Amino acid sequence: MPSRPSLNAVVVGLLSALLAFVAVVQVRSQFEVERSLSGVDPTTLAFLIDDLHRANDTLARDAGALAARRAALQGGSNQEAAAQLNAEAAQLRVVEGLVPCMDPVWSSRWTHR
Amino acid sequence: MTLRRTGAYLLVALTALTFGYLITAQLRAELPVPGNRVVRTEALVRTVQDLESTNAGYRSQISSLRGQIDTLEAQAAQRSDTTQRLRDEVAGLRAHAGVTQLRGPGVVVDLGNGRPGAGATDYLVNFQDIQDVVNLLFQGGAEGVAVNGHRISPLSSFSGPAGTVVIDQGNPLNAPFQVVAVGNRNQMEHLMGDASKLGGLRNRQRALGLALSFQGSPDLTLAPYDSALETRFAQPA
Repeated sequence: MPSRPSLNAVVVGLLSALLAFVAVVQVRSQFEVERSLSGVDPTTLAFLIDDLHRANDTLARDAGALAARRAALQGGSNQEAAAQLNAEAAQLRVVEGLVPCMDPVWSSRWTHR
Repeated sequence: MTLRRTGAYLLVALTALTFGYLITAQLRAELPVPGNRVVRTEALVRTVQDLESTNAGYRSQISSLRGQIDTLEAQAAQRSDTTQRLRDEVAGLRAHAGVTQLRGPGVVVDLGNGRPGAGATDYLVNFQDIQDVVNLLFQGGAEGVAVNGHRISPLSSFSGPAGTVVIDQGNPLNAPFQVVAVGNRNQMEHLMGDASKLGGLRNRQRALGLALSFQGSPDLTLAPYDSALETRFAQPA
């Protein structure tokens, strides 16, 4: 017949479990803090924040333009679709350097490759 | 007798717990209180994380909108030959700009940070390293390249402090980096294996343990470009 665990063993077991729990919580919280701050100084973070703000502004502008474009296409007009495709083709030719382009403000001019 | 022993054990355990608590409380009191600098840094980290989350949301939205627009254009093209011709032309231009998915043979290059040295940050992979690898892959006949899943476009720019790479309007990327290129696999493998190329990286690989390796693959897929491709100043002349 198996012997019943003594009260002492139960107390020691409970204390060990409590100690292990507290130790794990402490080590985990310390690790989280160190990981989030490792190798990052405030100046670098400030520059990253500035970059991310500008990037997000650009992305928001692009998302807005694309949403407007989708709304126009949902009207189902072929002329609208053709106009949008023409505009995109012209813009992509500039992006890919396939056509001469200029800055209308400064009238600087580059030739295509 | 047994009852007395149990009572003694309990007393010892309670005393030990009390001492443990007191010692911990004392140690915490002795430790320097987190300064304003730490609190400020934590606030900045949280701001960066929030902005990164917003950034990922916008890029996901842009990808989704481009997909929806493509579907609507396909429907319009079915009703008009002119629209269909335009759509075919734009499809080619989009492919060259990296706005469409690309699949084919290519090379995967892996880069990782080395061992910290005496203060310098040379052991970290920086944006110039990534730029050098991307340039070499294009020289070797890459028709599309992605860095940690971020597709490179003709307008792509690389920046960031040591150990961090920011590409276009994307989130800051950290090591390990994976540069995937689809194109002329043999030529890209030849250039990546050429010891006279990527001299700076190879020197730091030897001295500081930077990780640099590559592997060819018969079938790779690159996700479409998911950031803004706007030209705010340049217009066709």
